[in-house]
Amino acid sequence: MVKKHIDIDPIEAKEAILGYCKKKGALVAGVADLEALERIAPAGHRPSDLMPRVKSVISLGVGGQTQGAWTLPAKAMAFFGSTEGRAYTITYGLAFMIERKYLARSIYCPPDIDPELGSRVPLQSIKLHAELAGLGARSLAGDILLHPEYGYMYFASVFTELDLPPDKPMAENPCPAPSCTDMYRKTGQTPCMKFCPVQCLSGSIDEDGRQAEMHYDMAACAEMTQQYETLATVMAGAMNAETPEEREVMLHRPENKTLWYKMSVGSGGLLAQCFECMRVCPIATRAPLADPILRAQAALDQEDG
Amino acid sequence: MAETSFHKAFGVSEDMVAELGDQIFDLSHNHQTRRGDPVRELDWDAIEAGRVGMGLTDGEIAERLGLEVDQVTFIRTLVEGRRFHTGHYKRLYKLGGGKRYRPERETDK
Repeated sequence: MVKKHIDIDPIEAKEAILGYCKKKGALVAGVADLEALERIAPAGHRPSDLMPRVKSVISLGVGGQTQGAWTLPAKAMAFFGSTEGRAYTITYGLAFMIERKYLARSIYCPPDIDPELGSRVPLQSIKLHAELAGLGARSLAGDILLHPEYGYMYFASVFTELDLPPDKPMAENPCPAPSCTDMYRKTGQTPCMKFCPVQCLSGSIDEDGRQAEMHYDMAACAEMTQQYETLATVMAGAMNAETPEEREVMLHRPENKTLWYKMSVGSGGLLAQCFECMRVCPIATRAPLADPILRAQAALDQEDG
Repeated sequence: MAETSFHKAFGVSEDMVAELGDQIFDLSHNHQTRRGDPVRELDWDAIEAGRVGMGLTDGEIAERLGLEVDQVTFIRTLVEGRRFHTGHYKRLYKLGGGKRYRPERETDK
């Protein structure tokens, strides 16, 4: 079969692709500069390591929690606080859409860990894709990306052999918010630093109110956000227990029984479970379009003119 | 600790884990320090200067320490597991709904 060729205007194609993302529920979408990505990402984690002929990396972001979610106890939020599944659904469909419409090979970029490297190293940095596409800027909260309008989002990426013009990173970083800078001047900590349950964040703000340094103890954060890592420790503890009674307690104590429940129902509640730094972040919770209520109010205001 | 068939397969001894484990852990992504905002600003010199602080890959650590990449991965993941404190997670159960973490209130059981 002879391969068909179609003429594609890259600017029109980009508009259609980003329009698709928004129509399907993304709040933001953009194209990361591939050359910059290849230069910044370490060997083994560059887009071309996954897809050798990649020409463009498309990134999108979906909204975080509802406004109501922030009022819940942390143990409830741990089950549904993250909304990344929606981002993955859109990118999965986008890869199909690009192949169908532009006959260019495309993939949904797996947001998962590199199976050769344990549980803490991803195949690709979805964050780096989003940052270079201009969808968010690194915060003092462990480099979680924040957006001045939408606050805290979840990101996903598509790689494609379709050549699209790239966007630029954000011109300004919304973090730290003025109120966080005030608190830092008085106490030496921002809210995200102060209220982290394992004190995994620290850093400094310069005289101009910009981030000077950000320190992130990712290993400590993992203890709160990556409960799947607990499983091996619990199993090893049970197998090494000195008495049957000790083994029984190890397997049946309430918090460990919860692990078996989560595994049996395939709960996403084994990862991304702690939101305490974002709960106290004024950008994540109070950016102008940070949640569905604020976005609906803004739409109503616009209708009113 | 006794050495396993996995230790042997990777040519790693428990002495090596004891000697290099902390260093490998600290050089990896487990601890990250960023100065300024170099990626957003596409400040190439600062990006290069900040690579060590942001955490090195196992390949980069191996090159620094004169080890095989597989040895670094083996030691790093072993140390990550040994340092993982399963008891901290329960702190979440008391938070939210208006309650914030206060270290002085903490009594880990």
